[in-house]
Amino acid sequence: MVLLIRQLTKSFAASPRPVVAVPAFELGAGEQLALRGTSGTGKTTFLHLIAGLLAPDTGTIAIDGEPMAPAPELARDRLRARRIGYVFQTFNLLQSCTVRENVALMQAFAGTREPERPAALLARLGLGDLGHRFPAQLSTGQQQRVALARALVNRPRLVLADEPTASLDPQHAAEALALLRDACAEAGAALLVVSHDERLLSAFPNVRDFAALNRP
Amino acid sequence: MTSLSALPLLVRRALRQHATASALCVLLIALAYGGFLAAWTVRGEAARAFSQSAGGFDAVLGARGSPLQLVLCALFHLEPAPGSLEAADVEDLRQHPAVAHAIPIAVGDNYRGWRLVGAPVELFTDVDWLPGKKLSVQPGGRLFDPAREEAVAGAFAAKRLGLKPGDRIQAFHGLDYNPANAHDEFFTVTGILEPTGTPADRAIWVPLADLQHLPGHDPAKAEAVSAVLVQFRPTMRAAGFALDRLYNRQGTRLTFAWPVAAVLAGLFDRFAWMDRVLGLGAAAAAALASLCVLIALHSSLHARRREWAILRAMGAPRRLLTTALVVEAGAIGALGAILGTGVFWIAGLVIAAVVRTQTGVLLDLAAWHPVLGWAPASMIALCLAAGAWPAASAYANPVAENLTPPT
Repeated sequence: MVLLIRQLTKSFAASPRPVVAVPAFELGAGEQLALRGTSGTGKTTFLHLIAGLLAPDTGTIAIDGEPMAPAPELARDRLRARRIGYVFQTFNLLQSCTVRENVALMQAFAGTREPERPAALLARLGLGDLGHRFPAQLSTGQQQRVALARALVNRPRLVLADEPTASLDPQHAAEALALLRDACAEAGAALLVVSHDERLLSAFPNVRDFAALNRP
Repeated sequence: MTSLSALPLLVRRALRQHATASALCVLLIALAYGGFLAAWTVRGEAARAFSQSAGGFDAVLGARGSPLQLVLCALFHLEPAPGSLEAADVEDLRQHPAVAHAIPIAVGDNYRGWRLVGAPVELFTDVDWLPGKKLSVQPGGRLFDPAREEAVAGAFAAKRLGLKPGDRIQAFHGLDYNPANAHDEFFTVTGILEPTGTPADRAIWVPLADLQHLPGHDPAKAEAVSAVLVQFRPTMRAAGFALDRLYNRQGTRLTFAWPVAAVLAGLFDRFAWMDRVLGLGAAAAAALASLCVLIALHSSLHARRREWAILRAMGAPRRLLTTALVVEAGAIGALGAILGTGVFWIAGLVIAAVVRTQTGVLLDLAAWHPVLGWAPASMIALCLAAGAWPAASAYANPVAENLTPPT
């Protein structure tokens, strides 16, 4: 299993009940799964917990056999950089860095040594001659592909995508989703997408309701 | 690659992203740092240069008055003579067994504001102004003939006046130039002295007797001199104590300014309070500049929150980001110190030129001074410390809640 979750709970001070309470969840190597859920149901928090951006109150998370929770913050940072690619709804590119730097920084944080990979990956995603540009100089679709390149540069075992096409128009959304799925399949990475967009969800053969999974 | 390898890129990009604030901080630090260096080094270098600009003389004998005025008059050509000495006084001093050279000089006239100093030719032929070095004339010239109305010009005075061998210069009465006070006598320039970096470069040297006997001077005092420059025999410098007692304590008519370095130290002691004020002011400015770094970084924290969150989401360790912020502050300090060194050089060159013009003393600001080592290190350390507080705030930056763009 690439992702193994048991008895996961997370609550915040402002809320009397846990936002996330997932008794069990698993995702196999190379598997692609979409979680359906409306806004405010804890989908993003669930992904943040898997990525180690948040520490759970209880429960365990293992990524490719390595503990993400419970684990010290530094170990979570390291595991996130090496094993997880994260595609955000708003891409979250570093505006002060070039396209190539956005991708290469991800490598630096993971401690990987593949100096040719960022350029090769950008070329594979049709961004070969845009490496020197800053995100603000790119179209939305191009930014989405940079975010994808950044997520895949360290050959992650798991890619998390939070409403990955919400910022795109329908045509570009379909293309971006196909690219995301193909790139993950090509890289052998498992893909976990959360969304409330039925068009996106319809593209996945495997869709589960987050509400059924999350039982706070 | 490791996380640490990302540090230079993160710092460089942060400086670029906040270029205006960073540049202003760098400029502020440069001005404060340059001012601090200038105040510190010029003070030390001036004290050193003045104490080494006595032309090899150990003491000055003159009329009763201020030893400092006597030294400034006789060796630095700055003040009027406090009075005059009789020829017999010069002869008495010459007879002292500890005295190697007693060179009488006369002042009181000028050429276009540059002081004419009457001196015997022995000043050039017998006295070492530095060990093994005598005042010598540049190629193409020669020393003046004491029997003729001739002159040799100091290198700096000659350069400023455009003098060359063969030129004729007119004497003007008094130490300040007034065209109405012209003497009828002219001196022919026979040579230009090699530069020494001492006040000797600012004087125009003429035969002692010629200056003493210029028309208009009191004939009764024609043999009087303004001061006597004294050089002891190398092994008999302690004789200064006896002469000090003889002239200054037992006598009432003359002043024996000895040792010259101690007399000059008194000059710098007078301005010690100003040095302290300047030094403290510059140090306060440097502290203020580092405070500006703190304020600039702290005020940018809000704008940086999302970028930090993104970096954290990419796997950047918390410590790396806080280190980047501290290094960014240090980089601002280092850039400020580099630019400040330029400010220091420009300020130093201006100050050195003014001192050279006014006193003839050459300040060697290129000389190594310990402050050039500890000042940049201190400036950078100050800025690193200034970055610590914003870095601590950055350390506590929550990731998840800052990943969403502000609406």
